[in-house]
Amino acid sequence: MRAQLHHLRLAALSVATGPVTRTLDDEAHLYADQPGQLDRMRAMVGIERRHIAPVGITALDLARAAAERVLRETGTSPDDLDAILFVTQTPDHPQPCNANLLHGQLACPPKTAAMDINQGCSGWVYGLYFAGLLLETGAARTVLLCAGDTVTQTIHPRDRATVPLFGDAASAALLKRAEHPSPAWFALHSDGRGHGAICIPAGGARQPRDVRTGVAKVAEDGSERSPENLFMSGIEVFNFTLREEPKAVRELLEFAGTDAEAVDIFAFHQANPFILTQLARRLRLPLEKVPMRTAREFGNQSSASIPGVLAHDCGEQLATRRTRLLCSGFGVGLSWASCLLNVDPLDHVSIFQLQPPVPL
Amino acid sequence: MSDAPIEEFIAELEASITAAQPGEIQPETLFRACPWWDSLAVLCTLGAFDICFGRQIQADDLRRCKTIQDIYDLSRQEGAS
Repeated sequence: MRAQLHHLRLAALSVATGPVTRTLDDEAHLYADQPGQLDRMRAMVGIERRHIAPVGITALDLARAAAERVLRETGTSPDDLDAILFVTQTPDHPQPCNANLLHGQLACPPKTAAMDINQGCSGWVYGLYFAGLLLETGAARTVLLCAGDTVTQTIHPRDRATVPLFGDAASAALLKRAEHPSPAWFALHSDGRGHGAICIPAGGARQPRDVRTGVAKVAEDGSERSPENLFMSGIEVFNFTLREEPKAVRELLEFAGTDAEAVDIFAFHQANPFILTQLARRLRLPLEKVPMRTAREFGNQSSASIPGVLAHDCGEQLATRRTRLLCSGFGVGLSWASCLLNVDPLDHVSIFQLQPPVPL
Repeated sequence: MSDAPIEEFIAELEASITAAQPGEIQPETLFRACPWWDSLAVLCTLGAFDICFGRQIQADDLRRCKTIQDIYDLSRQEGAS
């Protein structure tokens, strides 16, 4: 589906990253039997280091830190929030949802609506659209959109195909009803037949955890994982991305009646520099318009990766200059979503690493 | 029908599989026996194929290939996605 909104204003953004930094060299033990593999990954995949959250620190903790910063820096009271939307696939509990928990932590009033959106790498754009709808109707004037995951906690520590790719982070964006209408274009997509390409098979109602689901096996490529761990088929995900993403971006530009030259920044989901370079080439985009340092320095941050790249790579630009911004996320679902909007200088933009807990 | 000669496909492979030495990738190369063939080379091959022919190689089709020529020939098969 696609839609045009008119009253969405991105006012402020903050991103909190996991407190522990791991470099690619820290993962050398995974490739002891593959000489040169680490260097090849560094050269080709392009992820140098990642910020991760150890078990005990959740997406909610990261989002709370980011949300408190955004509210403080913009002088916004929790009473001003009409809604909290929280995009995550690693919530604190099966129920209640993270948005309700954050509502309590921020001491929001009962009038503040709260709900989660269960999406991953496309999720920030999905969340932005639904927040934009609330603002479009006038029911909400201020919405807090949080998005983030602790994907690394779902990956088996000896899954050498997946471990070096992911980081943990969560974002908080303050969205306000634009007083002067400004068009924003959205296109949301999904392909549920591809759901097996990225999946955690066990731990939900279909396959509850039991003594067997926690047992890891060694896969064909030497990676270990159990049904409770994240599985990602690199081939299927890569093919999906090449097949759908360039088309989705072209169609959105056409829908908006514009072209790539008129866009200042293409903020893609920060899967990794290898994939981002492939996308830029297919769309014939100059690399300076396709920021990817966030992927290099933090890893794939799932639903927080688009706010991550906005805050990290584009923070100065977004704080000072009106920017024509295209955001596009793609991944688990399979699901992909893109939007094009004009962003006036933000009231606040920041990215910070959560301080590690003090050891006892 | 393929719209790029095999030389162009090989040039794309050489440009992206940096671990392979120049001239090491030939139509008759049994790629699985090569030291540079790994999961990253697989993705590079998918990318090169997509650039040259505008479509994707499915995992099962790649599994049946033995030589670079076999992969190239996938571009001439009807029904590939």
